[in-house]
Amino acid sequence: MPQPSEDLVIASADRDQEMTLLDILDHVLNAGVVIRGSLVISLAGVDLVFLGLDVVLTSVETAMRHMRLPNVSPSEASSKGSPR
Amino acid sequence: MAVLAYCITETQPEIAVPHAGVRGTTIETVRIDDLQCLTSQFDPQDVVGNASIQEAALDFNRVLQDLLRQTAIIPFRFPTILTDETALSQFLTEHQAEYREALLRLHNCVQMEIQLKMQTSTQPQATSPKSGAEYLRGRQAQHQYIESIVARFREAAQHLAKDWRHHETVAGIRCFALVDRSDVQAFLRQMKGVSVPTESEPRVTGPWPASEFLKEQ
Repeated sequence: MPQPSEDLVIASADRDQEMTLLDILDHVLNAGVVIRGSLVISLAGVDLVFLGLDVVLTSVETAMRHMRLPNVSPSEASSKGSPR
Repeated sequence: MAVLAYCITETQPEIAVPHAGVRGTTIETVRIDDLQCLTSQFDPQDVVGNASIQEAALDFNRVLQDLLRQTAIIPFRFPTILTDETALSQFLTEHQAEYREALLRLHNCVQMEIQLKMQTSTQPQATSPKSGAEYLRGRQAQHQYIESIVARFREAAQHLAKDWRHHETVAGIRCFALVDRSDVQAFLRQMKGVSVPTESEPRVTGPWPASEFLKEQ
């Protein structure tokens, strides 16, 4: 049954209640302008993304997924996970 | 060296550029006419490992929030990494008209977000359907239930929200209200007064950059 929203959680940068790590990560990883690009980003010797245009980007989520695939090639990376 | 792009803003009014970006790097600006993009040098080796990536994302958010307090911004998704400033200039030049329009339209506005959890067990007709028709009726009832909850928030926000969007996700519903930055506190008070099912665990966050409203519907 509907209740008065005493349980409503307000997390605002303008208030005392701080936003959670999840709130922040969700926004910086999933909101905003996306550029599609061409550079292979390599972390710890692992190629993460290759898209074939002029500039590059990946999300950390995608990067982390590919960090768990140690031998992924650029073409495989492209087919397995492009930025959202 | 590669550059990390933070966001796009108008060059006027002049803003105070944050002292440090991700991993303490210096923030620089790339200007195209009346637009500017804030960037910093980026070495992927600096953010190897979960903890470092998380810290970098928090640094990135700190820069965006600092700038959002001063002006309207169009954020890049983290991490947006370009080969160099020339590549960024080209990108900005190609898209400057759309970003100029968006910044003009979103001037002085921020985005507030309402998240509602909609677990299957809390929704009507969540039992296994016996037929296709029953399944479709269940889906319809579920959709109406969700829409009725969204409608309560939307009605409460109607005098403060310049625009409104919502969509269903796997976990529930996300609603986005475009609010004048001077109305943020009034918006939060309005949301406090909305009656909703307690199991939906309503959560209001913001202010955020108006990312959901970059394109007009």
